[in-house]
Amino acid sequence: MGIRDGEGMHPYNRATGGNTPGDSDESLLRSVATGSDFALAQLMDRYGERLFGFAVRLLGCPQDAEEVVSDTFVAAWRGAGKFRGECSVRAWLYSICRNLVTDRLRRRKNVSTCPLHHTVGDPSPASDPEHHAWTGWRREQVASCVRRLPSAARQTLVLRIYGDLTYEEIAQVCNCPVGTVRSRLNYAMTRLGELLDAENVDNCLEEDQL
Amino acid sequence: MRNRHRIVKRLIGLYAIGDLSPVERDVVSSHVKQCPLCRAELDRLQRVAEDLRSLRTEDRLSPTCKTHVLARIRQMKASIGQEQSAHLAGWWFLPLVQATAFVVVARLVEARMLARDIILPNVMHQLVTVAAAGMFLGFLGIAGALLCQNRAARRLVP
Ligand SMILES: [Zn+2]
Repeated sequence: MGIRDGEGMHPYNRATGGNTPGDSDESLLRSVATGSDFALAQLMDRYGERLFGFAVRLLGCPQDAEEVVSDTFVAAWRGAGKFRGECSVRAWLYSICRNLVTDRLRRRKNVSTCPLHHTVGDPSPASDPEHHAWTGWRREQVASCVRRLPSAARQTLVLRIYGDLTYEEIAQVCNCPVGTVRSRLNYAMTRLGELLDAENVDNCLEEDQL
Repeated sequence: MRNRHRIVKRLIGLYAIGDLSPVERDVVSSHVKQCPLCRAELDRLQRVAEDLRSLRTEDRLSPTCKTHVLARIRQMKASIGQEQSAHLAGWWFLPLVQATAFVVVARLVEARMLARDIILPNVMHQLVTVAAAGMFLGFLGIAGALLCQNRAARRLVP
């Protein structure tokens, strides 16, 4: 019997399952394994947004990404007892999320079947509407080019930029050596530059034809 | 120079996102000063890195996601509890069997003693009867409770 029901605890601890907001990821996950909702909520506060950033960059659809994040935490709750600490908790969460994203993409087969437009708006709109529109358009272009990168390079780039994972953690999530992470990341950046340039050339040609 | 150019090509993307060691950074920055091709590529990639980072600010997970996950988990916990009690309640007849077995054994022992002309003192005889009756009623109660739980669990679990 664990502390599943939190009997005999101080009222604050009963609500939090004995955890405090400053607890390490590992100790939170141990509490999740004993059934603490509070610990799971803490992990969601820490990684929910970043996992969402990761999922939305790969899936392109915020609704799908939110479902994946939600499934990730439900899976983490189920599997918390099996976590053996071979990697960091966040790398473990990203691995779960990555598997769910891959499943979803496989089912969808084609990324573009989902309404892709994760509304790309400027969070702090500039006073100049023309500048605002340009920034929005540019971001949409970047997001769409990221989705066109080869899968492995795309995942590596997104894990690094949006997940802030270390190279070692990315290697654990993607099941590859650290050297491969480096070369994939460099390739992803240079390829992204090429894709964006090609996109710009296409747009200029279209404007000329008009 | 050509060799350097090849090395820098392998590092330039990482330079743009600030992922190189100081030594590697020096290699790239000293090369781009002399090589216009790499200079142009670096400018391009630094813009890309900036654009990538700017996308990060708009990734907002809806606040309902957390409540949704917690609600799903509470539901799962409840259904696990129901499954366990349904599993347990399925054995409601076991206490009944135990109680009957106890009474039968007690009576057999008594009969055997009578057959061997071992006469129990009256108090002992009454004690055995009362204990058997008490056990029987107790087990009957447990069986009844489990039977009710079984019915309730069957109603709740689809
Ligand atoms: Zn060069």
